[in-house]
This record gives sequence, structure tokens and C-alpha cells, in this order.
Amino acid sequence: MKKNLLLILLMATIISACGEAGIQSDISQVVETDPVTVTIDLPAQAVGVLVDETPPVTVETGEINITSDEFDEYMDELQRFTINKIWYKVEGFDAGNEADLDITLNIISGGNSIELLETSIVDAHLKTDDVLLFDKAAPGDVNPAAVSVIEGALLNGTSFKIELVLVGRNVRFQTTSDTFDFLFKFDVTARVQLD
Amino acid sequence: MKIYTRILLIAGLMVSMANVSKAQLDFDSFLEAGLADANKLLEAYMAPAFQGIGYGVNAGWYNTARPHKTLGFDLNVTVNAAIVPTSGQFFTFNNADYTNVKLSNGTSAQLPTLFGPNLGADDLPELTFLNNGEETIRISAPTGLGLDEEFPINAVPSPMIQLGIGLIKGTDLKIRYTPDISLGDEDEGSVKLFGIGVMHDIKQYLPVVNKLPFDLSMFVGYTNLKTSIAVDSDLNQFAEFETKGTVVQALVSKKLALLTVYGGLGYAKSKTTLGLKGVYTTENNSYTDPIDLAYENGGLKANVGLRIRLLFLNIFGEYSFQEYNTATVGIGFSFREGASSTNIPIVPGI
Repeated sequence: MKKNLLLILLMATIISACGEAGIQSDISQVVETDPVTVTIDLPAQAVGVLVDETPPVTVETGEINITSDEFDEYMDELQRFTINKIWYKVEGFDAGNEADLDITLNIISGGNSIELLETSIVDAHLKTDDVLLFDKAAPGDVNPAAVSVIEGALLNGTSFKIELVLVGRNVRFQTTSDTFDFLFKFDVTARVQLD
Repeated sequence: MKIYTRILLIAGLMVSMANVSKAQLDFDSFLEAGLADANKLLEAYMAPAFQGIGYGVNAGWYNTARPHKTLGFDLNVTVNAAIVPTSGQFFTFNNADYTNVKLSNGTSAQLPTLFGPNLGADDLPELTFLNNGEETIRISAPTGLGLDEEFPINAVPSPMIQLGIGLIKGTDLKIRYTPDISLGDEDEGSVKLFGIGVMHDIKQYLPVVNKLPFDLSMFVGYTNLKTSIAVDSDLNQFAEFETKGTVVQALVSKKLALLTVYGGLGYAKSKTTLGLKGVYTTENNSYTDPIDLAYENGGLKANVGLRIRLLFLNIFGEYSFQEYNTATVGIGFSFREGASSTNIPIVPGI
């Protein structure tokens, strides 16, 4: 990851000159996770036909460990993590295939699962640009407890997974199967306290 | 590697030489912001430190306008504290002035300088760093030292040691000198001081005035303070600072028993440079001597001081009026101080 830390330098120049108060800084970065691959299958007779609903598909991301060189530099001085925003995008729908998706997102951390959000994505095949899923300033229906789980995992240096339960709605495929990727991005702030 | 443990305390150097060994540099990261932005932002942020030391080196040269007798001498240790004015606690950051660094919110903001208040993250504007227009990271703007929360004054200190020797015809030669002193381990850096000044009694040439009961001299002094700090001595990377200060003043003093009241009026100027020497390689580029900053100031300098003389011992303090008002305290001893034709020494021969 590209390091671009003029401000860290400046901040750091004063560390030992500062007294008991130390210095405090927020370091924020948008971190992209590895894609999770989803496959929706249709019976042969449904090809080219509008399908109201597909059977649910459950997939999990790999272990997500939102980190960066910048955060790692200050691992011992981290006070807290804050999730500011979460985006998703969908890539890899075959041309001509169309689908809406009902999605339930669960956060799995330490063997426990907690629902983050239930949402519907209309025209999922067109969502190839980032779509805002969560904004701290307007959290909407997102479960704040699940966000806290993510923030806690980050602070503890542990990983978590996102489980996606997808149901296709209004699906019209030109083939019996389509495999596409979900990608998530997190806007994360690490608060650093240097004494 | 923790960045902050590899970062030079440029500020700490100015605040306390003792702090230098605590941290070093990681300018590789710093340079990713782009040379132009890095120089500009660092220049604004560090300005009070370098301006202050420029004012500081021009203070504390004398504690009387009366030169020594021939081969008389004095040895003084002083600490000059250039007080950072309120205007030096913040600088204006305008997005338009930078290419790869922008405020996350708004187009202009007041940011603390190194000698500004120590603000928490919630009170600091956020800066966004860009690479080819793409956001790479956002970081709270640098905070200040918050020195005024811990010390009586928010000032840039500069210690000095100097020797004054009486020559002939009411002339003193003043020398400031330290050899090349290593900072911490060998190769970690060094500091070197040299200064020379001449004070000459001009009252002796002025009819009528030479009968008046005070001392009057002209003084000119030059100081050069060089510091080098290792960024990575194995890679031959160093940060080098040099401050040159010149002062020309008319001095007047009046001795009253154990007390000497003195003052000066004249002109002082200084120039401080900061250079980052060596070859620095980032992910995308290699830079040779990438940082080159210069700070200059000059203007009228007026100062008043008071000295208490106890046998050979001098304890003195003065205050200089200039953009960065400068307070000086010092202690030293003096032998064979000259006698004014109109002043009667309390202790003959001293």
C-alpha cells in the first residue's frame, strides 16, 4: 500500500517534545476487501424466463482483517477504530443477465454471528460502481451492534467474516448459471494516542 | 518499524537537545506527499521554530556597554528564549496552495504550527492526501506542542556560551564557540556553534558625551549554529540545520553599585536553513536532497537588561523587543572590567 504520510511525519516530529498530554491523531483510510464469489443457478427451463425468486444462496467472505501499513505502524497506540462508511459493488454479471437481490449480511467474529443489515438491491447487475451501504452519519437500518463488532475486531487485531445470504428476485438469465463477485470497501478511522 | 520512532525531532531539537536521540526520521513516507507540498507544509508548520532560533542567536551577547581592560575577560552562559507571538501559533492552509494535500472539509483553515496549541483529534481539521487525484489516506492536521500549557512561556530556546576578551582602546572581542559535539551515538548527529562579536567604546571619541556618567559602545556580532541529525547514517541521510545571525547595535549602560542597567538599539537579521541531505527512495521515486527550506527575518532590535554583579560573578537578564520578543537569562564571571571615567568601580580593579 502506498505510504503517503507527511502528516504523520509532522505529527511525529513533536512526539517527544510533547509533555504528558501526548498527541492524538485520527488516521483514516478506505480499505477494500477481497471479493466474495456468488453463483446463482437456474434450472434449464428458466433460461430467458423471468424468475420471481431463486433459492437462497449463502456465501462467506474470507477472513477480513482490515489493515494497512499506516494502521500497523501504530498498532500499540490505537485507542479505537471507527467504521465511517461501508460500500459494496457487484462485478462480473454475464452480459444480458438481470437480477434483483435480497441480501442479508451477517458479521461473523469469534464464532458468533450478528446481523448487520437486510437490504434489497434492485438491478444488482448494474451495481458495478460503489454503492453506499452504511454511513455512520445516517446509519439507517444497519445494526449498530454489528458495526461495533467490526470495530472491536479491528481494535483487537482479529479478523471477521461477512456472511451473505442472497435470494434472487426478478431474475432473468440467458444461461443456467451466473457467477459474480461482491466487493466491500470500508472507510475506517483509527484514533492514535501517542504519549 | 514504527514511523515515529524513526523520525527526527526537528522541533525537539529546537526545544531540547536532549530529545533528539528519542526519534529519527522516516522521510521516505514523508516524501510520498510530493516534494512541493512537503516543503510548503513543513515550512509553514515549522516556521516559529526556525524564526525563533534566528531571533535567539542574536540575543545575549553582552551585559554591559563597558568593555574590559586589556586582557580582561568574561565567560558567560546564556539561554535565550524567543517568545512565539500569537500570530505564530497558527498558519493558514489553503487548498489552492497544495497539489497532493487538501482539507477534507472546506477550502481554507487555520492549522496549528509546531508552537501552537496541542489539540485533540476532534479539534483538528482533517487533511486528505492524494495520489494522482485519488485519495490515499486522511490524517488529522499536525498539532502543536502546546508548550504554553506546560511552561511559563511559549518560546524557542537557544543556549549559548561565550567568551569576551578585552583588547586595546576600549574594545572587546567576543567569541561563541563549541566544538563539533556529537548528539547521542557517533554518527547520529552533531551540533557546532561559532560566533564572533566586537564591542567598542565610542564614548571616548565624543566630546562632552565622554564626560557623562554612562557607558556607550557599538557592537556587531555574528553567530553561526550548525546542527546535523542522522536520518539513517548507514544510508548517509542527514538533516542539516544552519542558523546565521547578525546584529549591529549601539549600547548604553549605567552601573549603579552592584547593578548595571543596559540597553541596545540597532538592527538584527538572521537566516535559518533546513536541508534534508542524501538520497531518499520512495515506492515511485528517488529524491536527492529533497527538502530545502529557508527562513529569514530582520528588523529593528531594542533590548534592555539588568545585571547583578557579586564580586566576579555576573547574573543578568534582558528582554529584546522585536517580532519574536526574546528573553535572556545568563550567568558568568568577569575579570578586569573596564572603568568608566565617570563611573567609580565598587571593587577597584574588577
